[in-house]
Amino acid sequence: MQDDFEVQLRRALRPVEAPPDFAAKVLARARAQRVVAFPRWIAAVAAALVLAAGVGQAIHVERVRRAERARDQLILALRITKAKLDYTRQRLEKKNHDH
Amino acid sequence: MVYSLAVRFLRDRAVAEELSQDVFLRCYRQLHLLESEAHVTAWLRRAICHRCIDEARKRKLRPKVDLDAMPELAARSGDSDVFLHGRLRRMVAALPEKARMMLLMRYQEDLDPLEIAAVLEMPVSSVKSSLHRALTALRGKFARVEVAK
Repeated sequence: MQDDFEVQLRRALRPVEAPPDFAAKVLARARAQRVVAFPRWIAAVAAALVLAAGVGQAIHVERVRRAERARDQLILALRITKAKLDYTRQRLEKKNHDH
Repeated sequence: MVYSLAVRFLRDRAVAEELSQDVFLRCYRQLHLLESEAHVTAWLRRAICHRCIDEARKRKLRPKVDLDAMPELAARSGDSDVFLHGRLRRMVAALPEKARMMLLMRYQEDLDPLEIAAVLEMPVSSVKSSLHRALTALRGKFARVEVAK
């Protein structure tokens, strides 16, 4: 059973209506947050792409290094072959000269 | 309910609106976890109560805009004694945070002590005794002011 004081208290504390544009503001903020959330997804994809590009670059560098090593080995092999051929040619020339 | 509790509790329309919007946005994000309209209402009520109490404690908020100095909405301006209600609201505002929130839930939202206890996560007996103490204090203060007039 309420007395007069409680009745007055209830009237004093009656609900206050939200501003007319309240719902519109909440919806606008919800939309803004969705827009913010989208670049986060994009950022994740971008990070994955950067990672993939990094891995690709590392693979490319390794291939170049292998190719350079192979080229150096080929040059060395050609130099050895040339030295052997020169030696053989010199031996043949000397033999012909002796005869 | 959400904005109303916040504005009566904090007595600051701008902060109340900001907090209420935050609560609705959080509710929107967690909507998939809420099972019914009653669940949503209970969630909103609990969220705004705790946000308001936290905010008041954190900022030791004092009203930037005195609600009692502002005109009430036209549809609700039928009170015979605007000044009496203004005094009552100021007295309620001077109560400690939890007691203030309990009174708002009891007399604004028309919740019973069991429902208030669920929102504030307190024993029902504590809610009943706190409400009784707050009401007694308000009556005493109100009577002294009326006699002094």
